[in-house]
Amino acid sequence: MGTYFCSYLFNKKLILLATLLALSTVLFAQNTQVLNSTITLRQTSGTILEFLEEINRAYGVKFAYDEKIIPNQRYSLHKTQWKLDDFLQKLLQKAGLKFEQAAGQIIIKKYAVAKVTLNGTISDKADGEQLIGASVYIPELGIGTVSNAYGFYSITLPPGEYTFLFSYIGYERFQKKMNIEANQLMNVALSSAISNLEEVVVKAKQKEEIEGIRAVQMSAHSVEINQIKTAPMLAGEADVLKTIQFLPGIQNGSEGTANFSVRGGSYDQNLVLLDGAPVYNLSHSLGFFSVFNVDAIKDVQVYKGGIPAKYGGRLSSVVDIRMKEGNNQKFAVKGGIGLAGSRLTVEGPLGKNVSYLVSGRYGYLGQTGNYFAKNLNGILPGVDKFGENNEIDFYDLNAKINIQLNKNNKIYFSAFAGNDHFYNELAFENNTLDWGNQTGTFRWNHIYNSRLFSNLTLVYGNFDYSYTIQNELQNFRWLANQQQQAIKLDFDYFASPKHTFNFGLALTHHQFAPGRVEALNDSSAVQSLALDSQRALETGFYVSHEYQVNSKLSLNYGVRFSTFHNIGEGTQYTYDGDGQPQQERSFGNNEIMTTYFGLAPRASARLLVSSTSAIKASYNRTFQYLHLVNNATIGLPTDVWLPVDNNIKPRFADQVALGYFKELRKGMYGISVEVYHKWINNVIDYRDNANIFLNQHIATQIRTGQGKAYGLELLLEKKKGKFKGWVSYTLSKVQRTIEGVNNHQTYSPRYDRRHNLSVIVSHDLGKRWQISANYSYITGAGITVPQGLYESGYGEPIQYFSSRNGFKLPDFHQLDFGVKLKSKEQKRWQGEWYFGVTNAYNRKNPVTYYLSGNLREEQVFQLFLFGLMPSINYNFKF
Amino acid sequence: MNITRIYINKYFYIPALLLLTLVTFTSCEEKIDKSLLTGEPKLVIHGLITDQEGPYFVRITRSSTDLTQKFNLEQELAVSREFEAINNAQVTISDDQGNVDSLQFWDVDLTQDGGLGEWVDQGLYSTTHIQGVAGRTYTLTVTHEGQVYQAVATIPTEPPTIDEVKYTKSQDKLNDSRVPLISFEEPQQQKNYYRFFYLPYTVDPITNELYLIGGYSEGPNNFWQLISSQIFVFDDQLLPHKVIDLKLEDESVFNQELASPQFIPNTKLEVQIHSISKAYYEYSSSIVENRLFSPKKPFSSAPASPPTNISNGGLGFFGASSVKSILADGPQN
Repeated sequence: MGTYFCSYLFNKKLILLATLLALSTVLFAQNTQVLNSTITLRQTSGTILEFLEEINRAYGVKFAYDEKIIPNQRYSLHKTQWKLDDFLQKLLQKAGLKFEQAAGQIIIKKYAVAKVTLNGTISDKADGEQLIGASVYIPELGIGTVSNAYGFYSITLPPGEYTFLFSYIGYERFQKKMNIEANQLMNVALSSAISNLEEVVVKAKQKEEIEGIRAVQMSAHSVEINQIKTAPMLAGEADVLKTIQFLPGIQNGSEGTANFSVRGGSYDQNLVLLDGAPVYNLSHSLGFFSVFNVDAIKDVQVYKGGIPAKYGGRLSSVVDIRMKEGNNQKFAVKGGIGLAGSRLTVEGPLGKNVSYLVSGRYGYLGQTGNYFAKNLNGILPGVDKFGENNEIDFYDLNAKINIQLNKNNKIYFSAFAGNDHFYNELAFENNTLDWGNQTGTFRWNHIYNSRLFSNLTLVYGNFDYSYTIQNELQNFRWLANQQQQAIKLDFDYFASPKHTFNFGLALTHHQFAPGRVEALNDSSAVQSLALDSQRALETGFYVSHEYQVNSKLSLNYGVRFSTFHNIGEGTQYTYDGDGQPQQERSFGNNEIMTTYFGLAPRASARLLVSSTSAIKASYNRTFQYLHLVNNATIGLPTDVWLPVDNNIKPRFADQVALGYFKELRKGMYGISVEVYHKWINNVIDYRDNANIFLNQHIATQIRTGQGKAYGLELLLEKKKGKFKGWVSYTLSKVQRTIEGVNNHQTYSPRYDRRHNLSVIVSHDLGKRWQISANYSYITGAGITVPQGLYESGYGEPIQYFSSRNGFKLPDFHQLDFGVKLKSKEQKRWQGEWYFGVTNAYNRKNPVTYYLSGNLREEQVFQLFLFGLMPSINYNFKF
Repeated sequence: MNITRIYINKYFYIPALLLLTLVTFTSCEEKIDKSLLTGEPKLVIHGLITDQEGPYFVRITRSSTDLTQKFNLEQELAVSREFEAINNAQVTISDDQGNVDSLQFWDVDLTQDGGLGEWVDQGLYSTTHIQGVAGRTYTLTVTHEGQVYQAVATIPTEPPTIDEVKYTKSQDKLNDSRVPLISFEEPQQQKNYYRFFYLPYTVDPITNELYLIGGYSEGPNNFWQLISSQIFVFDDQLLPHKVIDLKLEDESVFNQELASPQFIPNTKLEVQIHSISKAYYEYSSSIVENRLFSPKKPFSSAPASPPTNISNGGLGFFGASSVKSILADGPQN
């Protein structure tokens, strides 16, 4: 586009101006410093032409331009005294114009393009890990964006000279002023913040940046891996799933296990993703450790409400865990040794465009126990109960490789495999339990152009378990398996800073083999038997639009449409009102047996009340087509997943939430208050006196009804500095009403716990020492207990029970401590000792009550997981 | 295969939870006071009304908040515990035709009780005149200590006739016991639940009179059915049209009713088929489940009390049945 010069600009008062110009030329023409001169304007409001006219009149500055490019819009100024350079920049930028000084006059031109896009990736300088959710902010325009799950960002703006501010919690901000006139690629690497940042942060004058309060997303938490690593946990094993249980709205199921309930949802309503692949069984060693190795994890996002449309398939929450890409700067090794397990991680670059990470863990609780049983028998009471021939071990392996093919294409391949073996000689008799998860993910990031980003994901997931019983009477193995293959395609379209669109689709194939019994020899009292295998297809389509309506209000709304199809081959049963099979219908291979649809709207809104506080509201509907069939009350690897079918309808939930978010002292502190109400339809539970063990007609044992949950969540976080952590409090209630359960009376699940106070903190003492602590006080869980004996009417005593989960255990409270000592900085080998104490004041928190003992001396016992438990670990890296 | 035979006799998770404790030298299992779990005792009401000639009986006891069973110390077997009998309740049974019967406290005449004396003061009440008729609905009302408990039951239509009774050896090899095999025609077009009940008799060779044997003493009709430990209940879904040799054996009990010394010549067996309601079936089958797995069910969901049709937090069951009987020859070998 050409630039036109209009020699004498002011169409009115031309003669007068000409005279004035002549005069001003004398005063200013030779002065090349004219742009640095200070001007004082009389008017604070006017069009560009009016301002230029005034400047010309008052200071004799000569302007040259094509009148056609100057819009006739009025602008208001907040002050009258300006440096001319600043004034012109600010004023003209708004109209998409630029200026230059030449031949004693200021020439005003239009930019070649109306909009330009800056895009690239934001990563960690030290190891090249892409940063998720890092913010880019342009103070001049008051707009910004955040990087997506692959560190990719894109921001579109009028051409001009701006300051670009890149920031991420725990990292030093990066600031760059530059003139951008065409689409530009800028990859940014941020350095990890130094630990004495606290003072710096408080003293430095900082401009606004995008922090938690600015995001439309509410009811979400991003948990720093460092916080997870710092929190003292059982046996010193840092644990993602146990750490998130300290967040508001997240209740633990049974103390000490990885199971958790989010805002009143059951354990099977959480979508736990590892690099996009769902992980079905989350526990090692029957729940004492979770399957995620923190050394291999980069980022953990937890969504409790306002769930983005790109996620589907579970009702209550999404825990999106992303593995590290692997250090692309240098070869690095780190690891740790503890009483219960050891870890080793190797990562590094392979050439310029490839990086990899391999991380493994081996858990050896059995060997440790055997050692103590052998050597401390007679010294410590109870050790002999443990036995010396236990086999309790697990391993897991995470591997990932990333290849940057060119500037627009990157591929990732990540895999996870974990296996457990469990055998306890005395307590577990001759029974062994084996279980394992495997997931594999292939991803291809493609940048179509600076504003359109896509990701293609292929997912494979597998879970199996086997339970072997060998004794005089019985000799059999019980096996179950579940698999899935999925393809997902997601797009992020950064239309403008005001409009971002996310859309995509997913197709998943599920296979279930819920149970099979194999006799291990002929004399076994058990015959071989297999429950029917099942297959299903699940599809999902979504689109969402994030719309920044004005500087205060932002909206994100969208919809997810999903379908679910049970497919053959298989047999469909119809049951009569008594739960007896009435009809059987057989379906051929790939024939569709049952189909369900779900339309799930999602919407969130954020209103900035001030520059540091916001009100947010959200509504979401979610559908779930799979349910967990518990073979044991406490949640064990023997639980199997099954799809909905013609008898069991999909569950769906509606949730509304409202929250207030406030940041204090430049984002050092964050406060949030949220209230939510959730309605769960077709909530499932077993009928009273259910018979579920290897039951082909499990549908007859399941009842559906209505559930609701509501609560209040408070969170106070200290996000930066030497002292970090949070305090959370949740007041909540969960209820269900299901025909056929609890004698048709409304009841609450085990995890309905009225009050929950959780504290998680850490403090750096100098450069080498760090102390940390956790504390929880939670209302006791509800369990079902025998409450007496009565005459059955058939001549014998029989137990009767409390209502379902109607007996409250005593309140749970526990304090844990950890101390970390790092080796001196300068060495290449960096080691750290970690000393921990779990349950520091030796509180006996019962998890259940039960009857035990010899027949004649049956007694009521309470079971608690552990008393005071010390741990010691050594971690290293080089 | 019989799935219920896969039996794992420990709670699955307890050993697992024990482990870490032991690793870390602390105890995790602790005896507690039983009364921590238990609340107030509950009223337990059992009643049965049939289409047979009355009287009908209701038994009222109080539950025990002592959770642990009593055992015969020598044999290490669970023994029937004595539950506190409630002898001062007001009990009525009314039907949907307007008939009301106030039940009397059942006071056995000890001079001619024939062994029934042990049931004196056992919380038993008997009807005075009401007659059970198939198709009618009966309401049981019990008033005790200011509380009113009610239950409603309808007598189902009459069951099919038992065609034949045969015998087979039971699992009780020690006593060489026999159990009955029943054949009958099941009407497939309607939904039925059945309960079987049998009483062994010996025939007086001279008078040809029948005398109850096998631990039963002479008692009124409709009485032993309420007291007996025989739970043979069936859902017709699992039965073919021609039911042949349906075995009446309680697999949870070692001692079967028909031990070998009893099949002397001239024994007779009265076998009753009761048509019962779905609720009655469910109550009875939950008792069977409890026998097989109780109380430690590793692969179970949350335990629950057996269902009841007694209102106001009472326990037990008020059943109704229509009955047909056959008097068959006892086992011959």
